[in-house]
Amino acid sequence: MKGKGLFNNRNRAFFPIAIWVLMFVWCAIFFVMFFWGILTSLKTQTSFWMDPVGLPMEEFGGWRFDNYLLVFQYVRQNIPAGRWVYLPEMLYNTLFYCLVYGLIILIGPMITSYVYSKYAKKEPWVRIVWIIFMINTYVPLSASLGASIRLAMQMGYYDNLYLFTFVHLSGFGGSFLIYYAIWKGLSWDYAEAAIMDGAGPWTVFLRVMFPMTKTVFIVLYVTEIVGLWANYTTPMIYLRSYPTLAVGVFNFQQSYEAGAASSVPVKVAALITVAVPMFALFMVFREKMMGTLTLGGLKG
Amino acid sequence: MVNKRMNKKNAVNMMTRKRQDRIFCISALAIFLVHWLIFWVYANMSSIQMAFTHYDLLLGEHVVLPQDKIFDNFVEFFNKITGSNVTYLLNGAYFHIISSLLCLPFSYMIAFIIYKKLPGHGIYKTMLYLPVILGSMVTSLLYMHVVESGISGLWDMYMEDSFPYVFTDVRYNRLTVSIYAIFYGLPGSLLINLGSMSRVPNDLIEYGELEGLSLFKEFIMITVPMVFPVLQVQCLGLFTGFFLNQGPLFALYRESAPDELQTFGYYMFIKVYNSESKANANNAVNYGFVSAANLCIGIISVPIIHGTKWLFDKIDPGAEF
Repeated sequence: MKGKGLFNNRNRAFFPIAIWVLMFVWCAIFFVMFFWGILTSLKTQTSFWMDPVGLPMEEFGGWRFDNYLLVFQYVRQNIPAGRWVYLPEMLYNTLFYCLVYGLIILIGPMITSYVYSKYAKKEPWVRIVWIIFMINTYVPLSASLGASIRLAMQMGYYDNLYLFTFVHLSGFGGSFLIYYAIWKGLSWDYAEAAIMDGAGPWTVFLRVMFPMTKTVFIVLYVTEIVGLWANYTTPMIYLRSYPTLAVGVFNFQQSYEAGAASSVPVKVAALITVAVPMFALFMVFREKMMGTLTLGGLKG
Repeated sequence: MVNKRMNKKNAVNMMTRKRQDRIFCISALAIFLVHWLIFWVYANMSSIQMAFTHYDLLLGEHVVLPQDKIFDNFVEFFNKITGSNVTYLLNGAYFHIISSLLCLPFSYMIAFIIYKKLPGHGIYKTMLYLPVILGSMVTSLLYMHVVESGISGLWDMYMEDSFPYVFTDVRYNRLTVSIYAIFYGLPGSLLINLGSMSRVPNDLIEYGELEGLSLFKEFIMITVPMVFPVLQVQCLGLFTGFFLNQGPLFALYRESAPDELQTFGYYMFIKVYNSESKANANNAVNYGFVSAANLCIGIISVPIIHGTKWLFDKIDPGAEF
């Protein structure tokens, strides 16, 4: 195929080479940053101060994999009830936050876009879905953070991990357009065949149409999980008694406790600990995530 | 007779199906419509109403401001935004220019080079997407450790003078934060950009190749016009970002970012965050001001967004595919 090599005629120009070099430099810096992080997380504080960029020094404690165990001990968060929340509980909060909230965030746009794409002609009032989506997208109005917190308190979902789920049950979220494009691309013939066999609309949706979008659903779900895993501001404000891993590790970075708790290697180990699960998840779904979103992300 | 019965049966079936469809639509949408009414309509109304209130410490609730002070929160907003040499606005503009005017064009160029499948495109694609996977918190704090501990330690080992506190020292803090903002912003919305580029028709690209277009010309003359609608959407918030952009300030500094770097978006967030973290949850003294600011920004945004859209429509090459 033409144009693949960096040094063929078409590419032998300033533009592609300059951008290629820029990307190379960016990746090199990113790689060095992470390599430095992993190396640092395996040192003692003394070894780190003696040589902040070298390998762990044997005479100052050598390779300290137990820094990751210290993370479990030191990453903790004081909650309004007056007790400490440690890493295992944070992990539970994080998993609930990511797995359940991720699902809820996705279900709404999936259903509303389906109804709009398949029923708007039969039921004209369904067009309200599109109108609301446009209002949400183009009216630059959003409740202030203060008003949102007050609403949360009034409705009782402030600082409640389980009730706060319902706030995310929006039908007009970010994946509305992606799903709308997918439903538009799916032929209604499959549904017609099922209807001929006596299937009702919910059966058609759940057992015929939805399974055909399973791959995209999984990819979008994983993408939501990744985003929620790293989100620390929302739980920090709304879920103060349910700190997630991201919140715990973010707060831990400002720890000034004596000893290992405030050492740079343990703090960096905490960062690596919160990063590794998502990195692993991404590596597992890498091809699917990048391929599917690239192909489906903007249609429609 | 048979035909008539068949027609009647069909009509009944059609009616049943229509009723089933209607029930389905109502049952599928009801919960989301109610959700929207509560969390968009009511929340916005509540936010607007809150803009005219102040927090009464004795009563422990928000009360409407007296008639002669009804616009106090708005006055405070305009004083804040125009005071101190409009620092907040300028900082917001500064960080927004970094992300929109500097990083956005480069992010498109990067996506283009990956899309053209130049050597290493696979690994570049994965690496450049990693900041999204790891999140801004991990990336920014790791950057902070690298600079504060790694580079600083290395400097102290080989240099005679000590490494400055680059995150707080007024001479270096803007540069230090800007480097991070550029670094984090360069990949941009990689997957979305790649997705839009993958829709450019091959025939057009091949035609360009036959005409001897260089990659740069292909980028400028074919790719950018083709992905212009997506670019337009990404640019719609170009000017409103001046108000709302926080940059990486909270991740790097928490609530103690240096005054000379603070943006208005950061300032508003901290006002609420401090109310939440420093005292009990009812201490909502800043909510009125934040709501007024939010409302003002929303109102100011309307003409700005429409103006930006009008501008982009004017320069839209109108390419269709």
